[in-house]
Amino acid sequence: MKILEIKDLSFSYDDQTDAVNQASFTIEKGSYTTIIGENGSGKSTIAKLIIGLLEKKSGSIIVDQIELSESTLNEIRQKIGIVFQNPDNQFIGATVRDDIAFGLENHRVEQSKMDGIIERFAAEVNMSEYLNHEPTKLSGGQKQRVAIAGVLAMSPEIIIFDEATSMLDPQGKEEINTLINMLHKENEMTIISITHDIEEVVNSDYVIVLHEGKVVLEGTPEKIMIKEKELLKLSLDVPFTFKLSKALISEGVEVSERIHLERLVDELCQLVSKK
Amino acid sequence: MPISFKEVTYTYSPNTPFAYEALKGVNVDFTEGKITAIIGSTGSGKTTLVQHLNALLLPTNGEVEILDRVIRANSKPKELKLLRQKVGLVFQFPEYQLFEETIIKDVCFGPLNFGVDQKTAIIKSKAMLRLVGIDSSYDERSPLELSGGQKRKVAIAGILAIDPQLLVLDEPVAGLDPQASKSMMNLFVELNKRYHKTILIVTHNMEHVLTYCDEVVVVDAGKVIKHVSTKVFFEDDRLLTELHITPPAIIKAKQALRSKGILIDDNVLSIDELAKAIAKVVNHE
Repeated sequence: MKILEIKDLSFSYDDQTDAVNQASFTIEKGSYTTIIGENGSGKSTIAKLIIGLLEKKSGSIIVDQIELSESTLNEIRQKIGIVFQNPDNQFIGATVRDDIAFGLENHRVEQSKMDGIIERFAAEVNMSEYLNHEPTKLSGGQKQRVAIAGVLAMSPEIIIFDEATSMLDPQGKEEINTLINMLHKENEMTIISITHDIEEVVNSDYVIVLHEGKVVLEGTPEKIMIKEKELLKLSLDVPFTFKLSKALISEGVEVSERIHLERLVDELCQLVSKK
Repeated sequence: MPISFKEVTYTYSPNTPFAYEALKGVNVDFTEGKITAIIGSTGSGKTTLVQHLNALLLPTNGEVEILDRVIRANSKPKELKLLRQKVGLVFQFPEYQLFEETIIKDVCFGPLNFGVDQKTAIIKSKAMLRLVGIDSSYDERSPLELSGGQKRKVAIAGILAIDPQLLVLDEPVAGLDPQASKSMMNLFVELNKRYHKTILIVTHNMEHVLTYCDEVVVVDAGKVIKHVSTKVFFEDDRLLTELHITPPAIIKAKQALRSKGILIDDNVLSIDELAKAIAKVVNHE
């Protein structure tokens, strides 16, 4: 089932060039989609159009069968949450609790229900013990987890991660990636992740490649992430496992797995044990 | 010339209830002419440490020796301008600091500030913009028209135009696409190899540490706990685990192979070498 449909979407910052240029794609409910593309390809602009932070020039955005317009904006914002790149720019509250409460207050959730909701989602992101802490004193990964709790509290259908891990240290990155996977697998949420992390792409269900505001490639990572020539031309990269498998083949080791490291290692083990 | 820290401590908001000791006795001697990675988790003190290098922060205790200058605690240093011309510090997300109306003016700001004449500043700035990969059609445009990655390049060109001897970069490629990251990192390598600049890079990206850096300095809880060659660093599995570091893909691949009984030599650190080593095991056993 489609949960998001983008049709011929265009947007321009300066009325000269289109940052998003007739982009079309659909997102299936419950899928984990990664969006990749070089800097300036329109990834973040599309995200901002979807949540109504920017206003499209033409085309349409349909979320859960409702077309985005001025009159449906509030309804749609409840269906989509977004987590941005810089955790420091997303804090409003003086404590973690206030911060998670902010979105709920905006949506006029009753005061009596609020504490329960806040505590539930703080627990979901494993931040219960920090509810009365100042957000500024947290680590990058913890800050992003609070931002995610704030988004989850609104019970959206879709969460967009706009390079949400690119500023984090390795531990923070792992915390957030684990959380994204949990939201996808256990909570069956629809995830859209804008990323430069090729290894994250390998583990997603579907990948959309943008270039100059257009969708130029899309499909499963198995199909897309092996298109070396095209990806390099688009300023992108192929996964490590692809490079290794290619080097192995040129050394005469016939392997078939191209993007998943664990599967490639298993394949190599079988080759060794056959000898 | 030395770039060294001796027993350096730094306390934010000293003598207040908010006092926070970010550096707790740092001792490190960076190697001149090398590219050194400075790694450590968020809050470990990396950024505080590098801000001492151009005296943006002054040590609470101890001393910092930077090229021909010694900066000691409790003595106000003079003529910091000279030092700041020799040490180029690029902050995280430098693109937020672009402020002039045109790109060329923005890059010229540094050299003009350090007393270079207008004509030379423009020539230098143009050369640096080309070096970072911004073509001349952009010179007279507003920085606001650029994408995030392009802004970053302009900001770095602004520091390069000052022609510093020591270049300190705090997460220079975070958020850049893979090719832009690669060309930026290659630019730093070129600045190091061809122009003999000493380069310190604060980074979380272990692939970059492995591919581009000569040495690794590990900052943990306000102290430098390790300063070793990149190769030695990535051989230390236990340290990597302790530091919660996801190793580069090639190290991960070797670990995965090892766990299944396929042993690969520690010296193998490139994809081609790894493929050859695996081919040997597959074909000759």
